[in-house]
Amino acid sequence: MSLRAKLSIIVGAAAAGLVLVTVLTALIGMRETGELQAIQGRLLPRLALGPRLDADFERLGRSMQDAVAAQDRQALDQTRAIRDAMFERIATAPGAISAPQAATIRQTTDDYYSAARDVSRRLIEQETGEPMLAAMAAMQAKRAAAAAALNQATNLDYGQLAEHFGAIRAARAAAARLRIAVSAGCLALVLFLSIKLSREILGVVTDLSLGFARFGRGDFSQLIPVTTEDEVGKLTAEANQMAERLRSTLDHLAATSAELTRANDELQAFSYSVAHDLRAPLRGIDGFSQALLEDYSGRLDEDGQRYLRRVRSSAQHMAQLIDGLLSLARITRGDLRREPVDLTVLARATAERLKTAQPDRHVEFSIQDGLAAIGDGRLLSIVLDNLLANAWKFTRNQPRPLIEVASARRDSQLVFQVRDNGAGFDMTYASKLFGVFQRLHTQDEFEGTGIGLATVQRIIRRHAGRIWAEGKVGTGATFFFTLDETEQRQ
Amino acid sequence: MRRLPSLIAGAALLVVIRSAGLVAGASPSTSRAGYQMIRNPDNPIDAVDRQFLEDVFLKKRTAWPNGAVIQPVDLAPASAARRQFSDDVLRRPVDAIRSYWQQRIFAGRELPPPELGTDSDVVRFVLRERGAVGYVSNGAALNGAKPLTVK
Repeated sequence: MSLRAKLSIIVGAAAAGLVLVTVLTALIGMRETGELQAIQGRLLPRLALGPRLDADFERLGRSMQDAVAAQDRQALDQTRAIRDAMFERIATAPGAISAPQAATIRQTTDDYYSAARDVSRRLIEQETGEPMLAAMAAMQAKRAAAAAALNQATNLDYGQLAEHFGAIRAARAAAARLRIAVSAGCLALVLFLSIKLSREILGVVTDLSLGFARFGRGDFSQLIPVTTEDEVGKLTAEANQMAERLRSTLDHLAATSAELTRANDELQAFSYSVAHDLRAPLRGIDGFSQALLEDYSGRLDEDGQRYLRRVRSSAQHMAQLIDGLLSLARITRGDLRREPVDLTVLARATAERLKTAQPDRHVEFSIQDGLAAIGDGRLLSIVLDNLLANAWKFTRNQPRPLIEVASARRDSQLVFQVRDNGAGFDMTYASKLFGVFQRLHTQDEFEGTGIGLATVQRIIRRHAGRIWAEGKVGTGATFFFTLDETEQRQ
Repeated sequence: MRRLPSLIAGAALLVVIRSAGLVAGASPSTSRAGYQMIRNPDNPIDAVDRQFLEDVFLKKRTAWPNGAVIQPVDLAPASAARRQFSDDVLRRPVDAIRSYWQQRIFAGRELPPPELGTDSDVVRFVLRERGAVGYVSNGAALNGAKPLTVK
């Protein structure tokens, strides 16, 4: 079942509970309304009708009494209208008095009326005696019966009222209980489903997280278990597919890398042996040229000697190039050592060597104390040798040459820098600085092989660092480099 | 509200009855000469006061002092003894008393004492009913009914 479906079930359960509570409340409300309608439709009209009928009944008796007192037979006949009005009143209020009760009232009232008329007539006729008394007693009994029927029908029954109100109260209590029960039930169901779903999701997400951590470490040996068929399950399956593709790509890359390393090794071995083998014939060219200059100078004219000197100079330059290439190859081939290196000490030693080599130059060195690094001391010494020698060389035309060695934090990374105020360079060609045999100045301006900075870059790269330069023609140049940041922190 | 006029009429009637009674009560010695109070021979009580009789004939009192049920009996309204008795004992004219009873009858209250046509009817009634009390014209044959003295 999908996550969406599960969430829909939870929301649906909550909504169903709400609807159920609403419907039940409405149903119970209808029951309440029914009870109230019973009160309004039957009890309240009865409350209004009762006193009117009582008054009618009293008037009936009094009118007959008045007729007797006045000895007026016509008035006696007219009392029928009062009885009829009373019956009419009952007939036009059907809700107030039930049909059987109305019939009883009519029957008993009619009986009483007949008897009362008979007694009244006999009283008008001055009849006396015991039979008359018996007639009066009978009339009174009928009057009592009619009054009782009237009373029973119109008396507001406390019991009935209490029953209706009791039913309303009971309905309300039932509604409250139902609301609480249904709400609690729905809440419990929603909570249960939510907890169940959260646990499911949490479990799957934990698996997913552990799996991603394994993949991150490059461990593709175990895929993430797919335990659900929902969206998270699909995500897991896709993650597994991605991991498999990644593993296949990495395997492919590793194979390519191994192949490249092998080819590179072969190439380096080849160039090393070529360079090494070139030195012997070059020494021959230089040596025999020197011999020619020394032993046959008398037989050579000035041009011939100049040509020979040019041959020697070229041969020596080529020897330097070959030395440079061999050094570059050695740097690439040897193992890299990891040790604490004091770059301050190395830089000061280089500066001293440079000063000793050219004591006539006065260059100011500013070397920061405590430039600590982790790396291969021999190789880092070559880096500083090259960078300082470069700075020394390119400040040659500067009246107050200054060379600075320092470090600074840039974006939480330790950056070493070698700055000079020498010839500088055009930033347009900055990308060419570190190429083998790439030079931004002519041999006539500044001598060089074009291998030094390439060597420096290779050493920095072997230290998993980065090197770059900033400069401006006539103002100076700054070389920045970093080393493997994880090692520098240790 | 319809009851109010009849209440006022009733009150006025009562005033008339009272004043008539007072007039009648002015000469009791002569007026008593026209009738004779009688009782059942088994009734040991031989003398009562006027108030007692008034209460009995208006059915405000229903028992003898010894607890026996009293059954008063009247003569017909037209008889002279009845008129005399009404004036003397009830202190109201016969019409007022009849009006009083009609009101009670139609209100479903007490019934009046039976009104019998002749003295002999009254004597028969008194002899028949143990708790009976009545009156007859002076000189009427009592046939064993005992007189009742009015104190």
